[in-house]
Amino acid sequence: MVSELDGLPDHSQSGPRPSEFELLYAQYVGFVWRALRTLGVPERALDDAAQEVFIVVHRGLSGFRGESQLRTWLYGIVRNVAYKQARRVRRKDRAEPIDEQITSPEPTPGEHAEEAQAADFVQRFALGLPEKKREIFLLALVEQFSIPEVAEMTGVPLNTAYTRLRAVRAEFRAALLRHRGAHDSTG
Amino acid sequence: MTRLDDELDADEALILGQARRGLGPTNTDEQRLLQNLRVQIALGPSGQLSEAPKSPWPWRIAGTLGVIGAVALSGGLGYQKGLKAGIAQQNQARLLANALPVGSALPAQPNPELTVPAAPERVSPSIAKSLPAPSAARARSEASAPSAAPSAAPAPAALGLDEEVRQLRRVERAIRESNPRLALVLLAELKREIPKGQLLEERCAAGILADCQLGADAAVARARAFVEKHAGSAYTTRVIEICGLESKRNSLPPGTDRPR
Repeated sequence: MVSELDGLPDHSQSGPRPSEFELLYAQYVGFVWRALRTLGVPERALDDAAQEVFIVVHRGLSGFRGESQLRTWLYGIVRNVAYKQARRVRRKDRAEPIDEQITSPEPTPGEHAEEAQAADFVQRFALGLPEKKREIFLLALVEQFSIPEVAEMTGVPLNTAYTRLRAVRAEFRAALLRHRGAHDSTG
Repeated sequence: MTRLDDELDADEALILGQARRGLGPTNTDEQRLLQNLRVQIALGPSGQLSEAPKSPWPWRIAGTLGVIGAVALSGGLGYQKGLKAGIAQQNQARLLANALPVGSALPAQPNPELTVPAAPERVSPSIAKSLPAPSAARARSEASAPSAAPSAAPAPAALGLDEEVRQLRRVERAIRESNPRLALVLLAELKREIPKGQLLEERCAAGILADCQLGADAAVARARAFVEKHAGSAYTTRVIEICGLESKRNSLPPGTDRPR
């Protein structure tokens, strides 16, 4: 996983040094945000969901020293919060189609437009997967964790993780081909 | 087939990399979320949040430690020591002053709502009674406080103090993190919710400190007035330092330079 510590606010000139929690926040906020989106939390509920995740993390942070243990625990919280939020939204907007849960990318110039379109495609693909495959897709393909790491984080046997990855990767390739084909024919 | 697979792999990697950036939070998202978290954490556990996943016992212990960590984070070392010593919550409010750092000066308007309260209001009887071993300066100022109220305070008043302390912790954290604008917003909220609290001196001092961090001219005059009226206050040294009243330091009564 790519470290995001570079995005940490600079407290070197004035004010207090960042706390352990704020360091962890800077390192994992991207992962948490992407995971919540990929696991089905609608845009309008993202802030609340991310806040809930980090509050729970803050309450239980002490005692974690190993990166692996912390990451697995953090992902467990993300997953709980995401599915709870998704259930809450489903109850509230039972008839809302997936298309309306995803904010279509605003037209932005150049590189950002491509990123927004790719995010839109990946998010739609993920939301069309069953939960177990969606987790594998998120952790192995989007977040680039190794399969042993994914198996640990999701609590499934290693062979099961490999099997699911093969299946989800084949589905992703097929979806990507269709996407490119449609894009080429319209472009 | 192999060639197609290779192309697809490269294509996969490209779109996944783009998606990874596109799905992430913007800088604005990150800052907004962090700001909200700081307020939430300063508030303390609400009991309405999602529980952590079922975890083995070391993690449950970690969760308990986390609550202690949260208190330490939101209140600084002063709180942690206070907790360890079993000091009452009212005393923690007194310790707020010792955790306030010198903040950065930013241009802004002073906060006209926060005025210096009269000396007799500065220590509530119930709080004064619970203070451990006051310093000489504090003892002098407490001697001039109104006579003590009955020790069995009514429950609504106790709840009000509890909430007032909690909200002051949020204010203190904002000041400690050199975020005086947030501190002033929180103080205004506190004034609206608990207009006649028991920690008026603390509110006044925090308002002055926030204004001084903002670099407001009028704040210095209010800081001087505060120091004159509350020479024995635990906040006096902080006010002098943050508001740049160096010349006043020498005119303070003996024993008030570093109140504890």
